[in-house]
Amino acid sequence: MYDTKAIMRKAFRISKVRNESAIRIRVPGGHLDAAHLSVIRELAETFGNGTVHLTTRQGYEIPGVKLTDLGAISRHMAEMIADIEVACGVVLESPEDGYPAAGTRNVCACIGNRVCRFANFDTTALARKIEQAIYPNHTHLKVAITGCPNDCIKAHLHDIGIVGTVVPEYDPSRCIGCEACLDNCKKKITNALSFEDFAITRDEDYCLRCGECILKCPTGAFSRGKKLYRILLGGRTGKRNPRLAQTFVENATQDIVLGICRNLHRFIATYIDQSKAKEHMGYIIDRTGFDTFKSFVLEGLTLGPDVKVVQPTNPGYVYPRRP
Amino acid sequence: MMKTLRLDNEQAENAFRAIADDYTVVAPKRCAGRGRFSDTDLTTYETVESLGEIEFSAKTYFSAKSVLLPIREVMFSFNRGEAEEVRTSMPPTIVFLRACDIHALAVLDAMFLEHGGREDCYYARRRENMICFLLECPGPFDECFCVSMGTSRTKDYAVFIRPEAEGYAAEIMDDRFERYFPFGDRAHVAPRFSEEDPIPVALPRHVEASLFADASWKEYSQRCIACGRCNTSCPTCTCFTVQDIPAADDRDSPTRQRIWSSCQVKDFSLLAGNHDFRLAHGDKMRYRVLHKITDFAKTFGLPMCVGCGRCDIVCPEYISMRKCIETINTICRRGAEVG
Ligand code: SF4
Ligand code: SF4
Ligand code: SF4
Ligand code: SF4
Ligand code: SF4
Repeated sequence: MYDTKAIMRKAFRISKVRNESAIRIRVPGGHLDAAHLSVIRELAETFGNGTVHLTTRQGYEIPGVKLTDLGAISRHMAEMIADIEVACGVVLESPEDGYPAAGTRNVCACIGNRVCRFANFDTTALARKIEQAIYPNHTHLKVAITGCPNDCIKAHLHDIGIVGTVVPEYDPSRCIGCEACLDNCKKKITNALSFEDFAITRDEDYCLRCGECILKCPTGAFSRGKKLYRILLGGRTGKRNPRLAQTFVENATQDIVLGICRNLHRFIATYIDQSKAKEHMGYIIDRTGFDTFKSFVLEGLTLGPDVKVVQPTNPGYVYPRRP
Repeated sequence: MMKTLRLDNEQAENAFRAIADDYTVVAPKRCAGRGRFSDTDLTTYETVESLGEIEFSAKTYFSAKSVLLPIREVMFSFNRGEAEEVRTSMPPTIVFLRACDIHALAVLDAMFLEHGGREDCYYARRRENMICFLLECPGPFDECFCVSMGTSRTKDYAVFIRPEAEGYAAEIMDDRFERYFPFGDRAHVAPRFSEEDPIPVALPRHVEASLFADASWKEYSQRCIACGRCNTSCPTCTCFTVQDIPAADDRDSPTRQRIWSSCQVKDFSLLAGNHDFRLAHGDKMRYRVLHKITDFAKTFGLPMCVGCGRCDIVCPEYISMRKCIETINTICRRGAEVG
């Protein structure tokens, strides 16, 4: 009577309640024009049970809708989902049929520099560009973007996490030696600064490029240099082997970030275990090895001298399997 | 002879370029991407080459005091025991200032030219080569209280230039600059000054030492993070430290440098024997605010604060100078009633 797989591919859920579904709406970067909320409300009140759930991936989920209504629901929300995606540069061929794919999950982002003082860049804008680079696609992929190394969005739990960083530039002629930068870095971060002969030196080997020294400096002796991105790889939750992501690329430009995102699906499509309904990218990399992954996703990209590529080594936490 | 005129853009830029050939010109400039937070701009004093570069409408984050008082100034160099005074000279420099910032020069002058009956030669050498051009304030910014402080108006400038819908209006007060403006029609041009403060303040006439013990300072201890931004942005903060700093390549030949300091940051009041008598942030605030509004005046006859409002604007904790003055007034009134 219903093709559950086809329904789920359109981002609807198969509910535990017989004959019920839930609508799921992507909100790339977790940032939405408030005007869309009236449509979300209409959907919940007309088709659902009048409630809305905020998902862990920053989307909306509207529970209690009937499977028989999915066609009408798709038509009702067509204009909204097309608008949200067009803002990312994604053109949906037939939005009145609902979403064309659900495997590649909503791209999450922290609030970023539209509000947050720590943020090193506009996370919403990058989330939208990444949505365009990876969606629509059926392969299972989770990407999150965070404005600074505080990682409020938990990019370390994603297949790919993008962390915004900044190169602090120091002008000794503006430094009054108050050590506000140093005290803060020592107390909260990696103690990357030292003070000698009434000047600050920054140890590149320890500096995380979080930019807090710039935030603390009362004279502008520390100021913002290049915006660079740290790309994390291999984070995941899940039953068997949850794992925190680790640095894969350091000092990436935005072009490199987008280039890698564009190459991900090709890698997954080539190496996925076809016998499984879905396979997370992390497990595919575990099987193919890091070098294969690396050569696939870096193909065609010019890295430049400052870019470092590192192999993540974190095995994660393993729940033992009974022999 | 005063001269007033209107100029089209080209005339104004030509005049300005001719001036910039003869003088260094320092003016407010909006520096894209240089703000503390990512993708924000910093409006601050920079050397400019054209009128178009000048930001006429926003207040600068930092004041122009670094023109006269560099953040780091080398006073002596030592060459294996021999000290030599470093005589840096500043080329003739025009600085575009608002009325309050022109009044701030009187505070700096009091400190560096009058204090102790001796001129500070480093300051004096720069000061005599500095010329003020006026930036007008058609109305106050939200944080201004120059009218209350009596610093909203001035006649102490060489030239006033204002951008208009078409071209510029100028008033030349100093004869030296007439020759740069051999064109334009005479017109009525006069700078507008702020007439009313958004929140007026009145300075306390007298504060009792009992004020020190008031609980209000405890509240400030909780709020103030002792970051020093209020000092470094203030046009009249003049504190400095003196340090002998070795040269990287020759540790026996240091230079003696005078470097800005700030009563809000750590170790400012650290004494020999490790005594620090203002550790609480609220105590630092009290010291700063009283110095600005009463203590400096006891020695020099004018308040140190000119009401520019920068300390309010830059404070990450939204601590307001005006509000603090109001609190002090309330404490004084309460004291008067009780006493
Ligand atoms: S991750 Fe950084 S930028 Fe994003 S919200 Fe947290 S602190 Fe702000
Ligand atoms: S960027 Fe962060 S880690 Fe690096 S020196 Fe500054 S505060 Fe420390
Ligand atoms: S915070 Fe700024 S002024 Fe203070 S020591 Fe660090 S760089 Fe120098
Ligand atoms: S104390 Fe504040 S308002 Fe007064 S002159 Fe200094 S920065 Fe301006
Ligand atoms: S009053 Fe504000 S700007 Fe001044 S030191 Fe305290 S927190 Fe910093």
